[in-house]
Amino acid sequence: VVNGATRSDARADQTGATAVHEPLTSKEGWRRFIDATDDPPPPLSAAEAAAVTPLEQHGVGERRLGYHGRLAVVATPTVQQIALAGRRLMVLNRHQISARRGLIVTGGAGTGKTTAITQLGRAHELFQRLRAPDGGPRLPVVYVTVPPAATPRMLAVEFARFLGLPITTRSNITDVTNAVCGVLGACGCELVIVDEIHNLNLATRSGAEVSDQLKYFSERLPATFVYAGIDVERRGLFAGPRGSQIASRFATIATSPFPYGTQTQRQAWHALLATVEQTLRLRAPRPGTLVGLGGYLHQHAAGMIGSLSHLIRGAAIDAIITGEEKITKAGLDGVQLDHAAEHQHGAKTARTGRRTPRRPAGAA
Amino acid sequence: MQPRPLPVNVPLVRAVTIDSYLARLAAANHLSLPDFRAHLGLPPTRNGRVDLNRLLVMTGHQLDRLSDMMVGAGPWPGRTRVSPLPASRPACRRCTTARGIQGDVYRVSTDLRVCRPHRRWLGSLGDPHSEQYDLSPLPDVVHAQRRQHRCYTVMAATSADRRSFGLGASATAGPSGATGISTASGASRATSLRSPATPTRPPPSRRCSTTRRP
Repeated sequence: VVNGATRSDARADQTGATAVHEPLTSKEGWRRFIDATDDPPPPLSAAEAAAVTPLEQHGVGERRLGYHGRLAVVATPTVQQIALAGRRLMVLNRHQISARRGLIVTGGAGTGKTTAITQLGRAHELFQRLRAPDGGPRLPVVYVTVPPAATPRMLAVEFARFLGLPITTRSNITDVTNAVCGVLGACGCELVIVDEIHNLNLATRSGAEVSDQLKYFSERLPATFVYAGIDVERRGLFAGPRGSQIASRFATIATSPFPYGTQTQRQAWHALLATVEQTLRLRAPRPGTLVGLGGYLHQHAAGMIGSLSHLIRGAAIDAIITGEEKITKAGLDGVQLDHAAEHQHGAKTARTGRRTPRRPAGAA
Repeated sequence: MQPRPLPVNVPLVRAVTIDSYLARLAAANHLSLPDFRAHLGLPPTRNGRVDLNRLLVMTGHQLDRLSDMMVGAGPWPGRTRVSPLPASRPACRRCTTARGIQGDVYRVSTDLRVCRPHRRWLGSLGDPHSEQYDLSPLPDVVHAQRRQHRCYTVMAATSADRRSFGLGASATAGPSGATGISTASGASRATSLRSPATPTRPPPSRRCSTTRRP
């Protein structure tokens, strides 16, 4: 009995060890991200809602809060463009023996770079799973970030950390690089996503060495490399001989705030809002609310998809907590946004002297 | 450093030694064996105690399955750490290759010298580089191995101390889903009867029939 208890305790400890926070930059966290389903909780009618006990009601509410906290990703034109470009490059690179082409996603903070590249990785991994359901250990996608003030060894260790390879202080960079390349080659890696590439400063010696290390990885691994970072052109990623080599091999896709100038651009924004509204699961929604507030939402979120997502999710969660169960302009006003969006919103309001722009013609 | 699941796992082979399993695991993950052993709390030399909890997290195996398949992996009651067993013989390379295993696998099977399905001499105990000879011209050797196995089975059935014959403490077989090498190698059928989670020692090197060397 004592032995049995010890074993079950050990198993519980083991479960506890794996249940700790797993970031996206680890294969377990990445797998959880891939496996996460965005199925909305079933809607309850008023009669059904009245029939459930308060405890069950609490549970349903918690589930709905969780759902609105993460809401489904909407395929914006940028997400679609990056997915298509990434897929095209992977097919082109499949038969290349060297000098594989890559993709750099650049743009301001909150413009949806990370969302777009992770969606590209997710789509590729799901496709590979369908193609080879049980073909041994498979890691078709690797997602790492460049750490601040990175050195080549730190970058190699980031790859090893994603894989879960035990790295001791005794391991030198050659050991780590060989282990990473060996395992990724054996696991059929086809897409390497390197985020926060703006942490790479080619003007410094360590930054240049990290760039060389990335180049070495791209030569050793038969994979397509996708980089993402904030305004990488202005940060000198393409400067100097190393930069010119990157520039000659990587296509660039710029993400920017959603435009709201022409009629076509407004229609695209409203289509996006309509799609977001369809994913909401509030009990007393007023259809067309978000589209009706299109101009206000664009100004409030400064056209940033990240800020818009935060704004709508925040208002939806507030609506569930307060029991209002619908999104209103007052509710949206109550959500505190990031400093950049608030700052821009404040500046625009001061310039136009109006809190909300006129509704476009034809909007509900 | 907290252990995490390794990216590549290797199939378990029944009666495999811990040293052999760790070497295959390190090779599959392109890690240097001394570093990998250090990560498991083992000294680079052969003598040491494996931290089984770390190994369970890294391989994703359950303790029962690991100790069922691996000789010496099951800790003694009240213990969580085990010592590796040194005495081993290479498993039949044709059997392991058929299962997609690259490289040698070393098993604790001191009295099982012949792979009966493939009619091959498995090599000497403790010699990692021994050749595995074809025994087709020497059917007597294969026959002797068969007689020895039969003899062991009979003796074990009548003996209270089944562990002495490497057959485990009870007559129950291991889990049906076990994918031991025993399914491919008749020579290891005796060890395939080992019950789960039974602390076992290698069977003594006794003979019940003559076994000719080639």
